[in-house]
Amino acid sequence: MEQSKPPLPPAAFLILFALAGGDKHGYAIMREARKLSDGGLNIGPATLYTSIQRLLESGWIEEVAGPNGSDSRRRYYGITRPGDSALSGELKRMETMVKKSKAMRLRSAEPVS
Amino acid sequence: MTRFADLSIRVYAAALPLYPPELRRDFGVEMTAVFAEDLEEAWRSAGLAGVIRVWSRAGWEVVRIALPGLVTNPAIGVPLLSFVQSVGALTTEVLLSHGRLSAPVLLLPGLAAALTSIAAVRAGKLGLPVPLEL
Repeated sequence: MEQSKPPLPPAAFLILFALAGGDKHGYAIMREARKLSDGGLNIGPATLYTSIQRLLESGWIEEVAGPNGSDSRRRYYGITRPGDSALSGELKRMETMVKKSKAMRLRSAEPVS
Repeated sequence: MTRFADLSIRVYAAALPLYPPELRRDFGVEMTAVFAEDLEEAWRSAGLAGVIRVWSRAGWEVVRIALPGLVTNPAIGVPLLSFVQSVGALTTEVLLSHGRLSAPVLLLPGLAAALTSIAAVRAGKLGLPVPLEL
């Protein structure tokens, strides 16, 4: 039986999710991550860059050139292929959990009307 | 807002040495820039409440990310713990002299200090990295 990987920490997941939509600089990542979590995860600069540091070390994101005419002081980040596959794995894991909870007829899995 | 924003950014930049050295070295400038943008946006969209939110988030990050690194670094942690213990002892003495403390309460500051010291020494001895949350 294949051993499942541990879930991604919420901030790392949201950063990868934000970057899946295209390369971004730090502040844009933070804004997008907050939007994706519906304000549920309040990422600040230290959390953001601690996660970015770890993701860079893991090779899941990389520093990329900014778009033409962008502020040269900003650093842009993009998702790599291993990062993309980690994100897909996490989304699949979540999907499986939702399916399982629906199969168990858990009340929390029912959509809120 | 400009003067307050300038002051806020200066205070945030001054607090950067509290963070782990690698984080500060690689991303200190960006962290300050992101904080500044966040502050500006919060002021534009939510006024004072937004600014308070940005600052409380920054304060919480100091507690959650910077402080564990400081406490487990013996060069900083030991003097810091000694300082905390001294403040605790002094406070206890003042409260005692005013008859505001009962005997069991006296044990609490000492117990808390002992537990944090043991945790810091264990982390230092084992060479554990500071558990930074992603």
